[in-house]
Amino acid sequence: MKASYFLLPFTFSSFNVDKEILVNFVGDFLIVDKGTSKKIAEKKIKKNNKIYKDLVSNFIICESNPLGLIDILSARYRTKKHFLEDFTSLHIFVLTLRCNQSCLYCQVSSTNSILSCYDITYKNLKLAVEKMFMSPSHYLTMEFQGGEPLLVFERIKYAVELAEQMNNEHKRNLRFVICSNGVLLNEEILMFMKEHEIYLSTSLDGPSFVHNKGRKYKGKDSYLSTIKGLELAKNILGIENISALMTTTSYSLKYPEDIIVEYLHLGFNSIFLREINPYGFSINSTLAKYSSDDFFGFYKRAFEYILEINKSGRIFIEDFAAIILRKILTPFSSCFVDMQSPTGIISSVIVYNYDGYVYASDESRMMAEKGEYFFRLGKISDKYEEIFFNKKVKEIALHWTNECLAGCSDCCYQLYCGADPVRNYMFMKDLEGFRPTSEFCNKNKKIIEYLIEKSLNPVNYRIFQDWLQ
Amino acid sequence: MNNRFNIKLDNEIYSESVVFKALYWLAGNYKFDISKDKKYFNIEIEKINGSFDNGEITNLKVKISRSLVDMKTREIVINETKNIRDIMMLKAFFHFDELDKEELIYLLDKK
Repeated sequence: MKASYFLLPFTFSSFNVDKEILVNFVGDFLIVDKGTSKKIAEKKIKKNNKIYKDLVSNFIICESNPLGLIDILSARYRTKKHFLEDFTSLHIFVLTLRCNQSCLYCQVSSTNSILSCYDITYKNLKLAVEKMFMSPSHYLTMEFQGGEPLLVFERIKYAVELAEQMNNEHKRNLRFVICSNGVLLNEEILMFMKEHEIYLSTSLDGPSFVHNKGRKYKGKDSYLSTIKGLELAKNILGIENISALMTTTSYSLKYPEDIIVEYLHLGFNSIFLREINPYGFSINSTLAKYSSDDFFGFYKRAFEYILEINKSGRIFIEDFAAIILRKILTPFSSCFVDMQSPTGIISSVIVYNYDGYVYASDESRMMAEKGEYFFRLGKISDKYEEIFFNKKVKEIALHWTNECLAGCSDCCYQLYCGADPVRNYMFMKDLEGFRPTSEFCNKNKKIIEYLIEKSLNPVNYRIFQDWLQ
Repeated sequence: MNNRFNIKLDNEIYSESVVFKALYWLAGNYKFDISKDKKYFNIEIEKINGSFDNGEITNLKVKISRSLVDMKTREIVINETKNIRDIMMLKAFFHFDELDKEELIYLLDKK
């Protein structure tokens, strides 16, 4: 005889050798014996079964009409998709494609040219700032990128002062970020940054022998130049207003511990273990030639080391893990463009490029440098509606929700992951993508599963809770 | 060259959706030619690169059977929970508190 409970929406997958993971509609998970999902679906779990209560309390099944649970589950689902409420909040201003370094794996295809055609015009910069304020979001982040944006510091000053002036009327929560390799940082620039509360995001791949492998600086020592700028920035801005991003190369795969030690010595409390983006010069660079499995091996080794550091009493966060763990262990989500569904392109981030055009994301403008303009949405001078709600955006929107993508729609990690139509288009020339051979899918699935497994250990769980405070 | 074999699946046991979803995850390495008659799905499976190794066909059949069972389970869950899922999505993104209980029951029972 069948049991009399009702099913609630849930997904499942095998987990390790003899277990299954069940994930409910709002992202709570439960690890059970293999074959449990089939028994649940066939109504074979009896009330006296020891997991019956767990299934009820985790919203996998319910004993009476599910109508009574609609309010609580829909409210929690809304919380999980909270990032949709604000619309575009991250506005990237690519001020120049020119750069003073020549990184072998440069993903934006920067140039050493001195030609001004690689700099954004003041006219377009003004129009871009105005466009940013047309976004309905209460939170606006202006992120200055390049090339090396400090090569056109006057344009940064212009844009910051213009935005602050306009914000007197618009009254948004406005913040600024400069993404720089750090070698041009000096007292004048840093004092301006301090005065205007501008956050510094710099690039550091690890210790000297790792960093210098890919980052070339006109015969000078790229690592020492960056560290010099970084030390000055620490003195003037304070370490709390600085972050560093590392890019994993095929060379750095061997040195996860050294990379982390470098970050610790410099006083950072976190690191983002970031896979290389397959765009720009990295397409042909041997430093970018590794698989998602290679990266996962590196990631695991680094993560184990990070856990040991945390166990010894120092809180040191791996940022990518924190983004995913927030989705797994809390009712909330993370505003991270690459791991959102619907994806964060356009609805969370937009790029005003030096060439006078608006692109759907940072990766979209990287593709444009290689002659692929699919994600170019319009000119900066076009009307807001013509950029954000045009035919192309509607076409992209058909493929930006993983709940509707083949392979993702049944995946139990769907709520913890995201959709990436830009990468799909880059590799397969179609927005839908193909999960069985997708490196994005393979990497994310493995990391998510790994983090869930780690969170089952009570000591790790406490560490993760500290990270998510 | 031994790079293809055939299987038959009872179409009363497995829906088209279940069959396609089960085979999807294998489509990176294998090509499927699927036809349907009154009782069966007839599926020719072809290895895209090279020929089958020893034991590969047996392993593949096991993988397909497991995947079919999983997808069929998912189909049962989806079919039973489709309406409640739709309502929860609607309620999450639309402010329709004025919708009364009778209307919710109607939506819930809608097939």
